[in-house]
Amino acid sequence: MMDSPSYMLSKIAEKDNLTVYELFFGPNHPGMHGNFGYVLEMIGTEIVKVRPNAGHLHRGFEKLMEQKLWVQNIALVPRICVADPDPNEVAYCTAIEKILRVDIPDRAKFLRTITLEMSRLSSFLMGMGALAAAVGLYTAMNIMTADRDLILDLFEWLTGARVYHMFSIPGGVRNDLPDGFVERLYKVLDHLEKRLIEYDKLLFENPIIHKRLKGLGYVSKEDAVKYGLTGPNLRASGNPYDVRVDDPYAAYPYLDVRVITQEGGDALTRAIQIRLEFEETINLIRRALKTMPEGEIRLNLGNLSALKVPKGEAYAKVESSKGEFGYYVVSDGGMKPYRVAVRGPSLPAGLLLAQKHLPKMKIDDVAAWMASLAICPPDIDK
Amino acid sequence: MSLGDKSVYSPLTNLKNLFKKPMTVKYPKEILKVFPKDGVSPIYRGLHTNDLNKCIGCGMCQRICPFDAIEMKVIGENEQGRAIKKPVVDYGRCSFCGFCVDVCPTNSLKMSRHYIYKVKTVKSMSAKEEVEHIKQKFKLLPDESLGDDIGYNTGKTKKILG
Repeated sequence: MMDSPSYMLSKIAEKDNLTVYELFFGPNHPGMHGNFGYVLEMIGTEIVKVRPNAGHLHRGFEKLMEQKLWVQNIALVPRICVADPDPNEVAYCTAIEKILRVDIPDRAKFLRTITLEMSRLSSFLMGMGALAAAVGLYTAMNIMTADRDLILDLFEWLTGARVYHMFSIPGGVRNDLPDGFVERLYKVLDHLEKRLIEYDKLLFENPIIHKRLKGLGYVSKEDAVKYGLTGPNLRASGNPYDVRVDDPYAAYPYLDVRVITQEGGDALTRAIQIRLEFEETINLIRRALKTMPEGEIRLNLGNLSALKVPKGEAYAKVESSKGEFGYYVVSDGGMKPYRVAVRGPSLPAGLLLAQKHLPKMKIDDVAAWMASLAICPPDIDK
Repeated sequence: MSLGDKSVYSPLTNLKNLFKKPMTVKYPKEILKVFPKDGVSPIYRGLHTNDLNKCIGCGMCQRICPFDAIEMKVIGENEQGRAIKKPVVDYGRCSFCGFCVDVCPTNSLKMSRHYIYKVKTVKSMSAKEEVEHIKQKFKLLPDESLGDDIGYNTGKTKKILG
């Protein structure tokens, strides 16, 4: 204790009357995802106070969407979350379809579901990789990044682009599965399932991650609801809530979605939650591919560049890899949205929970804490 | 998930990676071989290519473009003395969403599988001139064609808009 770096630093600081100092964790910090920051007040290596420093990533999406045609916004919404772009497109399109009161063809629903689940896989791989990198296990991160590329290849084949797919449009999806796609997807899923053994060895059974994450950032069952956490973070605290089951959209009513819940609520439980949901997502894609019907992939809504949405408002929510992505769309009957409000899943954890958890935490744990809660700054700071 | 006892030989299992193919390719020499056609996906949304004989200069692509990347440029006059307009794509603004291809009524505007755009700069240029030079060059002009390797186009998929 006497010769620990924290103790030494605080002693040096006391001597110079610099007990409390300010540290900018981000926007330029290797442990930070995106241009976001926390201003930490520190004593030695211990955090005393935290102030989220948002604004570097503000691009005015919600206002920008009011100035573009309904269909033009499809090119804009995936940029709100880079790692998991499809929930944005699907939520935005579902909200428009709710106002239009149309029901899209079943095959389009299944295609949306498959892209959503593929996007979830790629986002989980990135999330697990970020967690691994935050505790210094870079081998796991490299392997996961390479495996994520296989999913991006499939996206490229299906939609024409690797990251910003712009696949869903009001009334359905843009193109059908190419020949040989399903076989390739099965192959990739088998590969990922085999890789899980490797991930377990490298990451989830690694003593380092158990020592670092056990007890870090504990969220109780009540607190998770109180703070408004959603997705895997909520389920890791023992609350069985999943938008796919409780308020199903796309093809989820036809599929049997298994909700995984765990008791625990600390960072280790959340990490294992992601790993268990990753396995379940692979099975879910297989089930969706088996039950996918043939048929039309798009409703004919006329010329989409002249689409007029009748007066009304709708809220559509989608379960993304980080939690509930919600789009509240208001139309005044014109060619452009009157108002679009976006509910990002990282907001409660990134802004509110940070102020409860980070004080009394060591500076080394901040990056791991952020990765365990899957905080994605672009959807805090839209 | 428990921390089981690991074999003494477990570090040696990593040696199997010595005999595996690398994950990456050396780009100009090797091309990715994951798609039915080598390189990028068959419907890749890359740089545009426009068939000037088919293009009627209607300006639908300019209207649908979410980021104002397309400008209709006058390239001449027809017999009645009306201006002939063709689209010019500014790649500084383009987001490669492909809506301009979807909306094209004659299927003349397509996207190619090319995605690297090179601009030659002259050494003697000042910094300001260089910026202007790149601004002018970073565009698809009507007389340019990348038509040999077509990616995303509405002939391959069903028509969406219009």
